[in-house]
Amino acid sequence: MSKRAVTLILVAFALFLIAATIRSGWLYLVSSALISLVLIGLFAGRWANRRIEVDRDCPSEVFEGEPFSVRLRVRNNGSFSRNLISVQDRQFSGGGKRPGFTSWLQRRRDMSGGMPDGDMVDKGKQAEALYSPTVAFESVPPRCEVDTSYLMTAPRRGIYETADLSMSCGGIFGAAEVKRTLKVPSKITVLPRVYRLEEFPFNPQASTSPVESREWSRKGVGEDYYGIREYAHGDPLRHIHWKSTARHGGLIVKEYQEEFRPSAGVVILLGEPACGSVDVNSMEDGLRAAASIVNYFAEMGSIPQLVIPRNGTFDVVETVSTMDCLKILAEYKPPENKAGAGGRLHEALSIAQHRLSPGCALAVVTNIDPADIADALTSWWGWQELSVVLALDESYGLVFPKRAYGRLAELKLVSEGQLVDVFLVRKGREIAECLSAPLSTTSS
Amino acid sequence: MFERAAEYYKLINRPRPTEESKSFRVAVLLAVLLSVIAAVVYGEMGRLTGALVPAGVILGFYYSYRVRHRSNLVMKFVLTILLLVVFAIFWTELFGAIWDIRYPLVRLFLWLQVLHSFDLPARRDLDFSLVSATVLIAFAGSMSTSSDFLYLLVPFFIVGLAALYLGHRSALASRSAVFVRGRRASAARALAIASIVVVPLTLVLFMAMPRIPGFSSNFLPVSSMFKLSGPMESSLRNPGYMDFPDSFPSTPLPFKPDSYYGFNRFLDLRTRGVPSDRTAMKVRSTEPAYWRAMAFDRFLGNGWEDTEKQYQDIESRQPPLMVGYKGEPPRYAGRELVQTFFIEKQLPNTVFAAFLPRQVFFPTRFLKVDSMFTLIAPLTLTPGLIYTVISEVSDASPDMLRRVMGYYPKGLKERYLRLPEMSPEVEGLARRITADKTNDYDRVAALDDYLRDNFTYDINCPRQGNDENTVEFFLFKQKGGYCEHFSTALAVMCRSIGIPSRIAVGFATGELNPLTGYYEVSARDAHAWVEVYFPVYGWIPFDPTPGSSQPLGLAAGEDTWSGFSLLKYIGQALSHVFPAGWGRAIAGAFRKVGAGIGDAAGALVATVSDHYRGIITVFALFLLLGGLLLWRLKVRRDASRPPPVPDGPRQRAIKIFGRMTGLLAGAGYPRSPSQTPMEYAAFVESSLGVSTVGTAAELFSRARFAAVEPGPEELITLDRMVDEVEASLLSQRA
Repeated sequence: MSKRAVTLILVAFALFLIAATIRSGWLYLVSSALISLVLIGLFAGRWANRRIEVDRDCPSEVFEGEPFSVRLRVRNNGSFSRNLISVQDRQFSGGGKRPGFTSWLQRRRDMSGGMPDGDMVDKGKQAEALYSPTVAFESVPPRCEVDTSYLMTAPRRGIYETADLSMSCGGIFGAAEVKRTLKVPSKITVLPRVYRLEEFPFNPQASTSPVESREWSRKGVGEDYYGIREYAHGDPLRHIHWKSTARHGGLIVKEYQEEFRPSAGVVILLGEPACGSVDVNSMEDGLRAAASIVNYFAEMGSIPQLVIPRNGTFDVVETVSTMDCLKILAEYKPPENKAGAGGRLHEALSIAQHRLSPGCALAVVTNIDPADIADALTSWWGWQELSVVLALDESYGLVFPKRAYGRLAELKLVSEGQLVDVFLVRKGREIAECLSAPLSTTSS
Repeated sequence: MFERAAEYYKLINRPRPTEESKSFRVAVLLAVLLSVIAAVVYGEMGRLTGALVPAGVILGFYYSYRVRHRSNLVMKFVLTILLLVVFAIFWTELFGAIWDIRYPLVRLFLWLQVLHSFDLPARRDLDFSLVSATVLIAFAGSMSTSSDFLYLLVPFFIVGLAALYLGHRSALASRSAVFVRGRRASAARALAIASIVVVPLTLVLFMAMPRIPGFSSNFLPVSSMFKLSGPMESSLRNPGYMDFPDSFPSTPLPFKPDSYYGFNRFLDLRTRGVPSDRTAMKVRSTEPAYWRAMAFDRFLGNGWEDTEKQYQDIESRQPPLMVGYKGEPPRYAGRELVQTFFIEKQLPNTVFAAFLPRQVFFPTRFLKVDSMFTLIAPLTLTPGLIYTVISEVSDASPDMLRRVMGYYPKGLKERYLRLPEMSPEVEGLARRITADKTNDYDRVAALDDYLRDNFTYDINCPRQGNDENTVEFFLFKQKGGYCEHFSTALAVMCRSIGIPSRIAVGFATGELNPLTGYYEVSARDAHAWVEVYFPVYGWIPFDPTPGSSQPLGLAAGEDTWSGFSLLKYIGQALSHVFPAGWGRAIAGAFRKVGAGIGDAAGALVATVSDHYRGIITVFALFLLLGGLLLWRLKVRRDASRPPPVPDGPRQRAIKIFGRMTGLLAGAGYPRSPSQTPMEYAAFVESSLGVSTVGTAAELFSRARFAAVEPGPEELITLDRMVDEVEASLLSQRA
């Protein structure tokens, strides 16, 4: 029930009690009028919400934090106009009740304790207006539709299949409010935010002594024409070179190759965060860092392959475009099993080493404990250039624990010994700034 | 904890966005002005206050609008100082008006409204102004004694509704990223329709609201003290009969429509006339009662005489005046009844009140009281006079009165059994009527019923002879009359069989105005009834006049559902619109419907409040309502569900394959929606190495998509394969 309705009911009840005490009929009348306003508000709100259809159009892909335009169409199928209707777009609010002051307060207390000040509450409301904007219609005539567009921003990456639209109407007087939630199919992929990096370690090498006898181009795939050869079982029929076949007397096929290009890989081992908010935590910031690195690698000429956890192990995913990489990051889900983080990092690195092109630039983005990273690096003997981006989970919590400094120092030592660049992503620092200088060049 | 409180204070008092809607501000201003005018008019605030307050409010609103973007700290400081001054004045006035705090409270609210109007930057402040205006007009209504208050209340509601709409619209526009404006005509139409709907709903709620007893409070209004010049009157003085004779007149007293001839030392039963319906007074009471003026103890044959000559003085520097008579017998089973009287026309110098008055809040320091508890005031009651009486009314039930045993005080029987010479037929009749009764209460009740059932009420009955015995004339000749005749007959018949009784005169209850909450008593409500003495319980009223309620039965709660009497007023208003015959019929119909609904509501509540039946009834109602609600929810849910898939071989194949995918999902291999059964099977086979999955998928694909439906053998085979998959999974897990 809205604040206005509660106020009206309380005032009506107080007047009723006074009326009973002093036997004044006029007070009964005023009390009745206030209650009737609330009842009319409830009835009118409920009635107004019926026979209303809402359609929503939005882009299929957007970046988090960047405003995009949404078109909303409200259609009144009833015989009477609907007045003062508001529709709140809660696609990014996870549905459910709109977080009010109390739930925001509770979250604030959970995270950092103490009472929020007015600025924080207002900022919270401004953020809510950005992520869950409300559109109000003064009047929707009968059997008509009204459309409008508005800007909204996605607070975090993900794939959202439906949009929850909270439609509310308090009647003409706003004495009471009735809400109705509509689930409108409206798929949108929110890609993680990309920060432009000025520089990041990227030195893929072509090894003069390949580990295995392998050529620096792969034949049989790709689009580049390499030459012709005899037909082998399994060759696609469309590759048959008919002229050569006619000349040769046997089937001849065209062969293609894929030239060696400097390759890169990004290993992502980001687990469920223990600290931070839904939008800002080590996993989300890690994904933003990974997206930024992907974008940087792509600009350098190499769409990186992604090594991501799937079904208890790691998968290597190759994509043809930066957007495809970002889509994979958008739908990233942390591994369920958190145990053995150090071992998992080692496993990921091993898979990357075996399945990625030799000499590729490799970046690892993780939020596991620095000590586990140090353990994994100690036994690292890979030949790829390796960079580690650590999204420090504890930095997103209430208080930064002092023991973390020790672990970071240890990691720094190990990384220097192993010639591995470690970048620290922490709360309160912009990601581009975090990725601009490795830990070895900064004081811990 | 202090820091948290300080943080919370800063949080709730942080600057809010200003309200920019001019129309909303204007609407709130109009509502506040109407409430302020109502409070000034009905609160009798005086001309100076009446001029300053509205001007202050207008100036304040204008100033607030002009400086709404500024912090306005200097003004806030000044307002705080003025607020303290206003509160100090309020407390000072309160101590001088402890019996009726409404006037100082309304004055406080008025000045708060003026001060607050100088600091209204945000919508929240304007909403507060609207709420306080509503409270103010409600209090103004509590001080109004007539229906004229509607002339201010109706415009206030219209303006208030407009303010609510404009405020709601403004709030919606400010919290929305986009506000799509509509056509003005559409919004205006919706506002008009909603406003019209509010009216009947408000009236229905008003009528249905129970008039519960409420809390006891020191709400005891009284006019300002009068300064008496000269000695106090020691006898009753009726302004309508200034030249009243010292002895019983030989010829009937002249009748004056505006003044009841019974408020004198003699009650002449020969006088005839129809009193006017001009309002004599308005009474605010927690329950209906008869407003007694005086009593008569000696029957003269064609009239009554008040033979009391000895009055006792009652004096007090401040209210209340405590009423008691030396030598009065003890009395039990009484309850308090608070009544406030608002005098509308000149009345005799007697304090009207329900019997037995105990505390009187009267604007003089003196009163006189006689042994029959007639209260004589030092001045006649003039229009505008207000006084309050706390009475102790009898709470004795008929059963208690039937069982009464005790002694009569000395001299009481001699005084109240005395009768002049009259026909023995009167006593004979009384004895015949009460022959089978075993106690005094039943005897009196029998006589009362006899008179009600066998005699007709006739205000225009012919006059008896000047010296003719009224009771004999009434009982054996005329067989009809009005209240004095019925009461006299009952009192005389009671005396004839040895039951002490006397006549009391005053005003009947009057008509309850549901809007004001007052009993409106007119000159036509002048009435006479009987008081019968019962040991232990004292004088108990009886009213044998047909059509009137028994005073003993006017218990608390009888007007609980009096809100439905509003229908009678609506009927009266409608009757003026239609031709005379139709109008009377409509008025009568509305009156009967109102009374009927009120009685039905009372009966329902009485049933519910009855111990076991009530609990069961309420419980059954809840079950019924809950069942209806659940059924409705179920119907809705079922309607929103897709229709069930009809059963068949293909559906069974789907279910079997679904079982397999469920098992595999549980093992960590969920099927993606975009995967075909064969792709999924290939994926699972490569991951798990369970070859049966592929075969099952092939069987399923054939069963599901082939033109011919699968046979029972195929389904059995498919089912067996799924069992094998399950066994493989279990063995792998092991």
